[in-house]
Amino acid sequence: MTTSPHFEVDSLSVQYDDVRVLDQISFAANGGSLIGLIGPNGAGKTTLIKAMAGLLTTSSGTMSLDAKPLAAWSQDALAQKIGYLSQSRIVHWPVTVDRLVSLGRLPHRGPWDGVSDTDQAAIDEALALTDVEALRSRTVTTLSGGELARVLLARVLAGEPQVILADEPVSGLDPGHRLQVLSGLKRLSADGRLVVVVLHDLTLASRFCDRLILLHEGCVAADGTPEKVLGPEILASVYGVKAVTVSHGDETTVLPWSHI
Amino acid sequence: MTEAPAYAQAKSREIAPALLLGGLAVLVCVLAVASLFIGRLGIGGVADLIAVRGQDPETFRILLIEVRLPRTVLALTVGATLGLSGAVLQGLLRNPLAEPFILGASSSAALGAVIVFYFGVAGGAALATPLGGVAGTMVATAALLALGGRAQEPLTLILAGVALNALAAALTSLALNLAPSPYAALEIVFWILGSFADRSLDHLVLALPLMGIGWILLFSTWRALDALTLGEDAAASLGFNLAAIKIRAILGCAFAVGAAVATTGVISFVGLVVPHVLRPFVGYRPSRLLPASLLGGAALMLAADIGVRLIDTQLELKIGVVTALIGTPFFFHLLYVMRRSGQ
Repeated sequence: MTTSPHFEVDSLSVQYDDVRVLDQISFAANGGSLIGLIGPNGAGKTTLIKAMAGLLTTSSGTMSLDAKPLAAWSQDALAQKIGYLSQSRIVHWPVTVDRLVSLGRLPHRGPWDGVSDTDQAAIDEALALTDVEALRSRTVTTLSGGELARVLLARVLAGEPQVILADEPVSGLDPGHRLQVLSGLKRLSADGRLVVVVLHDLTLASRFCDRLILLHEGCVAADGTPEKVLGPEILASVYGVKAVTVSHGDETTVLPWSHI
Repeated sequence: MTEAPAYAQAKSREIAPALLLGGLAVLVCVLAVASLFIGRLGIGGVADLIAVRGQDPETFRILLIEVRLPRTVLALTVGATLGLSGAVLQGLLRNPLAEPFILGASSSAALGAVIVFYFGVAGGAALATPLGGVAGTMVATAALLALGGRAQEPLTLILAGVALNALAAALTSLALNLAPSPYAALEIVFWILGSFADRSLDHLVLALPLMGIGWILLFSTWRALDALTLGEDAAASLGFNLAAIKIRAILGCAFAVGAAVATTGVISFVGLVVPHVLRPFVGYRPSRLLPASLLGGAALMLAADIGVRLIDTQLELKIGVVTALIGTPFFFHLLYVMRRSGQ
């Protein structure tokens, strides 16, 4: 790993036509942490993560990566630095898993370069990390939803990005694979990467994330450790739910229990 | 769940790129030579040509260089253009139904050329007709991307193509309606039907550089087309400037298809059939499909043009009529397969 990344979002607003989707969002994040972006449907999570990936035209505010404004990064350099996993899991052509994952190496390869040993090593590691090595010669159209979700995450990891932005990487996965993917992302963050994931499952969010940013109606409603963000008042006012706290060993996690 | 379109479920029949491209290149060469030496209804074949050469070298030269050669080179390059632009449009729009004719680019090119004809500019400047075709395609492709380029829904795009085709047809009819003489109208109609016959070296000299520019622009999109397998957001996050890619594809189609249609008239469905047939052999990778479709389109067009010469009809069949007759059932088949898979 090279230097740990530093991401800063300052007074970011995004507007679609007349609707303000994000309103004055500010936070800073460093490598070495797994940050959960949570919030009810329509809170602006996907918009924020897309904006951080440089995929949106923002209305006002600034974002910077390693003290350099996002807009000042060349598209190629940014693509090497940031890996973005879209919420959409549509793959348009029935290519093999191997080839799909190798698309993650495109930012590192010159126009005429084949897949080098370095590329292949990164691809193999990504396949191992997401437990899809056995699927490598399968055609993506023959995969189950959970398998495809992991293959698409492997595509992002193959680019060895220092910042990983993943929009709902575990939705639609069974419990075993949810835990596996999140512990994988946790390991990547422990290596010094910055990992930001959009999550709906508050139990997983409180278990795995070092920090949670709770969005509500386009604003940051809470930002801090899971214990702080997932307190009963906030859960009641933002989600309208009551939760119970579950402890196992020295870990505690919340379990949404009833609608208020 | 993974969406598994039925058109995409075929088992991988991938062939090593060198073997596939080499094989197609050999096929193109063989067909090109055959095209030079096969005359209408088999008359004027090798033996006849040798006989003519002995008796009258000048007639031999005219026959081979001024009659057969332009026809062969046009069939080759126009077929290549249609195959290549079909492959690029399908990759860009992630839609196996995308094709210059279906999306309205070809008929708009024809309209552009007809307008030039109609206003009589063509007499003044020889380059005006191909440039009219280029302008027509450019307007149509840009309108198409604006109307439905981001849509995931294949039918939206096809409907945009229907609208553009209808508009081009209406305006072409208007030109025919107002044509100064029945002879001029007939000339336009016969030209639109699409043919490689009776084109001269001058036509070639005008069209080839424009097609060449188009090919370069179309090929320049190849890496982005692979990335677009993952959708537009993911492709952009991999460092591709999609706005620039789309502009290159629009300009590429405009130059290549515009110049091709302005020279030969409308030849439909080649851009649909060729990439579709070759896709399994390149492992469904959009970038690898480009050179294969270029060669495949050339081979198909050369073969079809030899075919129309050998079929015994009183008047030679126009190649555009033949491709439409063969291509339409193919289009129905693709639609049926896509509908069955719930696309």
